[in-house]
Amino acid sequence: MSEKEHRAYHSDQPVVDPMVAQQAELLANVEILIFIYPTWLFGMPAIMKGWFDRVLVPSVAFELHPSTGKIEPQLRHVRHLISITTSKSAWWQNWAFGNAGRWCVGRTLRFLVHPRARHTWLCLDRIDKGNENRCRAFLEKVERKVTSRK
Amino acid sequence: MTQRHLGNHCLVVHAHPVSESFNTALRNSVVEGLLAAGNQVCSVDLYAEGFEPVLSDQEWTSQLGLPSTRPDLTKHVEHLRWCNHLVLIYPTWWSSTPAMLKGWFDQIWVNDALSTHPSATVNIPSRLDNVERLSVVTTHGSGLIRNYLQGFGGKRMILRGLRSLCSRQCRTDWIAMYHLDTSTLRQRTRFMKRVQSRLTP
Repeated sequence: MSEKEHRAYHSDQPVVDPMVAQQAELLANVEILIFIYPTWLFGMPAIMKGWFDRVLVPSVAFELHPSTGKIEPQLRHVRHLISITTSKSAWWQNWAFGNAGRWCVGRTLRFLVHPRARHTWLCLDRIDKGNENRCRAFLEKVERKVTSRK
Repeated sequence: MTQRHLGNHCLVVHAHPVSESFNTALRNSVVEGLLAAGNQVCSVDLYAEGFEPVLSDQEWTSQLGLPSTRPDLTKHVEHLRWCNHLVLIYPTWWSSTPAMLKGWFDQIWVNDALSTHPSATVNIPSRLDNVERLSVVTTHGSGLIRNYLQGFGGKRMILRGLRSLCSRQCRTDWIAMYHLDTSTLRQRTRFMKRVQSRLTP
């Protein structure tokens, strides 16, 4: 998020970059939101976190009530959140070290989408030890999980 | 970069886009406090120096094999290896660090900072044994309950994840302010004093 964007955050026009406006437009009528990224240093890569910081601003993801400052969600049309990620660590390491990406989507963004929306977490751990069969099995799992919700 | 002899080697990493923000004021007060307590302080302002948080295709490929050859990153790696007290100051956005700071983790806390012989097969690389204290100073727009429900992703990532890469005896501090958006000047001043007293007892 740039200085200009941060200054505009609480104004009437929080979206200043046309690229961000385009992303916000895409977000306006989706039902399924899928995030695909590698897990680096216990969380999502900076470019993905930047998408959260810059695109999910007031008027796109939520509105702040002018007097109470209460958050009013604007993404109620999203009914399914899916995170697909790969990690070098084992599942228990991801669990022990926090898994920031999982919380970012599954809990934080979860507040702004449909109240009964689901979050599906698909993580292929120990990616560097993964043989071809394991990767293929994961791909099949992803395909099954993604299509079964339609 | 400001330095003074004696005391701890403190690296203060700050990520906030606006120079007259409360976050930047916090950084200034932390740096002053640490210097006054007789520490050596190195202050890094990621926004001010125009740090590039996005890892390019080429860098990612080289990261798996050889240490990065980008000269601007070498300086950051040296700072990280030099310090024994790391202080991170940032606003919490989306229950985690700003992308700018995450980019600093992604690019600096990798092979060349953590080990001289990187190997893609090592899950957790060798430690940054020099880092004996890890302090986080952060501000939240929302309240404690909401952040609790949101799972404290950033707190987990740093105090558990990055902590696991520091010295085994590494101490941690989590100094957080909530409801910044609706805070009064008195509350902010009090928080600033609290930060000072925690970091420089």
